[in-house]
Amino acid sequence: MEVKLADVSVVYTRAGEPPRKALNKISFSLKTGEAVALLGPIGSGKSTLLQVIAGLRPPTSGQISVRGQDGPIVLSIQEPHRGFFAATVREEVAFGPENLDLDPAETAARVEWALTAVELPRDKWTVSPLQLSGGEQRRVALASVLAMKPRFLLLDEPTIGLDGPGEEALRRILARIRTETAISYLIASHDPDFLYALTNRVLVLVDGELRADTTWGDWAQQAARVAPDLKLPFLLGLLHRLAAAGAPVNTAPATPAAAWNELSRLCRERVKEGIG
Amino acid sequence: MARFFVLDNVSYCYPGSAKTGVCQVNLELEPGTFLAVLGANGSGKSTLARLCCGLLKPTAGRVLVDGYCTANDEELKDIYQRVGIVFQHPDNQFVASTVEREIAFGVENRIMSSRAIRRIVDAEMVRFGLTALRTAQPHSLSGGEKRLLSLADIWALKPKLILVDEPLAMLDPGTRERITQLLRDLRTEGQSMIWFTHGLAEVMAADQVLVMCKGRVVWRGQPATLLTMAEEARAWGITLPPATQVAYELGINSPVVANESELVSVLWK
Amino acid sequence: MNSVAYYPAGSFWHARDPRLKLLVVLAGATLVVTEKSLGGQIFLLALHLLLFVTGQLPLRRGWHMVKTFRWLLLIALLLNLWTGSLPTALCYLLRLINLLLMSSWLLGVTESLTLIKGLELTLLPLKRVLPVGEMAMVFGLTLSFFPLLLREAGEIMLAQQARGVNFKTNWAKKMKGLIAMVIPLFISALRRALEIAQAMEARGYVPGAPRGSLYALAWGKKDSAGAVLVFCFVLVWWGYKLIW
Ligand SMILES: Nc1ncnc2c1ncn2[C@@H]1O[C@H](COP(=O)(O)OP(=O)(O)OP(=O)(O)O)[C@@H](O)[C@H]1O
Ligand SMILES: Nc1ncnc2c1ncn2[C@@H]1O[C@H](COP(=O)(O)OP(=O)(O)OP(=O)(O)O)[C@@H](O)[C@H]1O
Ligand SMILES: [Mg+2]
Ligand SMILES: [Mg+2]
Repeated sequence: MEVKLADVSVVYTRAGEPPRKALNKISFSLKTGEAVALLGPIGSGKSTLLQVIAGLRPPTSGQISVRGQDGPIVLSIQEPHRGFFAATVREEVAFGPENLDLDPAETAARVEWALTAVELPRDKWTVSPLQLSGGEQRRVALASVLAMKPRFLLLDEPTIGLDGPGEEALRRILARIRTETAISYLIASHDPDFLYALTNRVLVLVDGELRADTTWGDWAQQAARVAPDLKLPFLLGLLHRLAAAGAPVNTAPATPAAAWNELSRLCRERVKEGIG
Repeated sequence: MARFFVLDNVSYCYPGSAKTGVCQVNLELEPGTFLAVLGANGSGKSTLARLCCGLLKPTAGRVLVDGYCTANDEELKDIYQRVGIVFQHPDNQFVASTVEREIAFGVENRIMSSRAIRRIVDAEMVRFGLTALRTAQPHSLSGGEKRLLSLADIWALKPKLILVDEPLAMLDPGTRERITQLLRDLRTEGQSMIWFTHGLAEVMAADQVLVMCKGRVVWRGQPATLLTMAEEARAWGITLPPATQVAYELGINSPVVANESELVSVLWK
Repeated sequence: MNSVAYYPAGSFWHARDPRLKLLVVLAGATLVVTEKSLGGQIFLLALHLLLFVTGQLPLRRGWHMVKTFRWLLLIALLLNLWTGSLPTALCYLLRLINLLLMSSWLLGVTESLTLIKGLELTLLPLKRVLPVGEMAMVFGLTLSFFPLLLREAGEIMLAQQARGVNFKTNWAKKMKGLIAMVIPLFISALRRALEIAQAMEARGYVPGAPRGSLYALAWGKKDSAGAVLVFCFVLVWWGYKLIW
C-alpha cells in the first residue's frame, strides 16, 4: 500500500482575513511498513496534513492517491473529546470495528484488547467518555483507533494529556503492532522523545512547507537551522552538547539504541579514567 | 490571620459516581507563591482546579479566597475576580466569536472604557503572538494557537491567583520555553500560581509540590526532593525530568541530576 | 462555512448599534410574516439580499443556510402544494427562506455578546417586571447554541469519518451514524452550553450587570436615521397595502 501526495495545497479562507495557505505544495509518499514522524511548530499545518491524508479534507489543489489499499486509513484527531458521541467507553471504542462489519465476538475481543493495551482502568469502561479525566479520554481515543487494527494509522499529538505510564503503554503497543503486522504510521507530535523511539523517518513542516524529509541522524544536524523552535530529542540534544564540550561522541545516531550506546560508552570511559 | 487562599479539608464526589474525585485536601497559600500539583491521569488534578476557583463546590470542606467562601453563591463573583483558570481543554473556555473579543471578554466585565480595553487586548495579542489572528474564530485555530489564546484570556485579567491545568500541552518546545518564562514572571508581580501537571520538569521552579494519587494528597515537599524519589515517582505516575531519568539509567545515582547542563558536566567535566 | 456564525468584517451594518439591527429584524420579520403575495415576498427577498451585500456577507452564506434547511423547506412546499395552489405554496416557501436569511444576516453582522447587550438594553424598560439580564443571556446562549450544535455535529462527523464512516456513499451506514449521533449530540451541545455559561461567569460575567465593551456601543446619528427609515418604510409598506 502506498499513499502519494503530489503538490498538495490547502488554503483556508476565514472571514475578514486574507486566505491562509496552511499547506503549500506538499509532495511525498508513504509506503507500507514505514514509521514516520511529523514535526512542526504550532500552526504549521500538521493537523491539516493528517486530515488530508485521511481523506477528511479535500486539498484545494494537488492530488492524493492511494495504491493497493488493503485496509482502512485511520486518524486519531488532536482533540479527541470533541468527537465523542457514544454513551459508554465500550461503545465508543466498538464504533470503529463495527464500521468494518466484523462479527460481534470479534468486535468485543478487539475492544477488550485495545482498552487493556492503553491501560484504562476497567471500572471506567462502562461510564460515558465525557465523564473522564483528560488523560483517560486520550486513552479512549487511542483505543478506539487501535481497535480497528488499521494498516495505516495517523496519530495527531497522541501523547497530549497522557502521563508517563500512559505514554509508555502507547509506545509499547505501537512498537508491538509494528513488529506483528505490516502497519505503517505517521505521528504528528511536539514530543520529539516519543517520536525518536518509534519512527525512522522525519517530515518537518514549517509554515505549511515541507522543509525536511530525512532520518533522525540527519535531522539532528540541521534542526537548529531549519526550525529553532523544534528541539531535538533529549538524547540527541545531549550528544550535541557533549560534543560541543569536546567529548568524543557520534552526534547523529539514527536510533535511541545507538544513542544509548554512545552514552554508555562515554560513561564507561569516564569510570575507567576515574579508576586509572 | 486569614490566609489568602485556603483549602480546608476539601472533598468532592461526582454525582452518580461511587468514588470520590478529590478527598480531604488541605492547603494554605500565601500571596506570591508558586505551587505545583502533580499526579497521574485520573488522580483528581482537574477536579481540584475546578474546586479552587468555585466552578465545582466541595461536597465536604471549604474553599476560601481572601475570606470569601466558594460555597456561597453571593460571594462567587468576588472569588471569580481574584482567581483565573486556564482549562486543560482550551476550547472549553472560549465564549466569544473572534480572538480579540475572546481576550476582551473578561476585561469588559470590569467596566472600563473601550480605549483601555483595547490597550489591554492589543498588548496581550502581542505578548502571545496572536495579532495576525485577530478576527479568527477561536474554534478554527490550531491546537497550539488555542492554547495561547486561552492563556491570553486569563493574562488580560491579571487575577491574584492563576490556575493552569497542563498549560504547556499542545505547544512546541520553543513556545513552551517562552510560556514557562511568562508563567514564572507572574510571581515577581506578586501573583500566585497553581500549576497542575504530571511532569516534574515543568515545575522545578515551584516553591512547593503537592502530589495527588487517587484523589488524595500523598506527598508534599520541595521539587528537588522528588528527584531523589524515582521509585515513588514512578508509582505515582509522575515523570521525572529527562536528564534525571537518563542519569539513573546510566547508573549515575549521585549527585542527583536535575537538568541537561548538570548531566553534561557529570558525563564530561 | 457556518451560516449562523459571526462574520467579522468592517461593513456599515457591523458598525451599527445592535438595537437598530434588532429593529430591522423585527420590522423585516413582521413584514415577511404578514405579506401574503408572491410578488411582495420576492421584493422582500431582494431587500434581504441587499442587506447581505451591504453587510459584506457572501451570498454563499445565505445559500448555505437555505441548503441546511432544504428538507424542512421541501416538506413545507409539498404540504402547501397539497392544500393550496402553486403561488401560495411558493409564497410560503419564500417566507421561510426570508426568515432564514434574516437570522443568518443578523448573526453574521452582530457578535453574539453584543447582541445580548442589545437585547438587554431593548428590554430595559421591562426591568421592573422581568429578569431582563438573565433573559437576554438565555436568549443569547440559545442563539449561540445553534452554531454550537452545528460545530459539534461537524466535529463528531469528522471523528466518525476518521473511523471509517463514509457519509458520502453508503446510505445505510450514514443513517446509522446519524441516528446514533442525534441524542448524544444534543447532550454534548447542552453540556457545552452549560460549560460556556460557567466559563463566562468564571471570568467575571454577571448577567444584567453593566459591562464595558471593546467596541464602544453608542447610539449614533446614523442609528437614529436608520430607525426612522425603518419606521417610514414599514408605514409606507402598510399604507400601500391598505390603499391597494
Ligand atoms: N478550519 C479552519 N479555518 C481557518 N483556518 C484554519 C482552520 N484550521 C486551521 N486553520 C489555520 O491553519 C493553520 C494550520 O493549522 P493546523 O491545525 O494544521 O496546524 P498544526 O500544525 O496542527 O498546529 P498545532 O501544532 O498548533 O496543532 C493555522 O494557522 C490555523 O489557524
Ligand atoms: N464529569 C465527571 N463525572 C464523573 N467522574 C468524573 C468526571 N470528570 C472526571 N471524573 C473522574 O474523576 C477522577 C479525577 O478526574 P480529574 O479530571 O480530576 O483527573 P486529572 O488528575 O485531571 O487527570 P488527567 O491527568 O488525566 O487530566 C477520574 O477518575 C475521572 O474519571
Ligand atoms: Mg494540530
Ligand atoms: Mg486533568
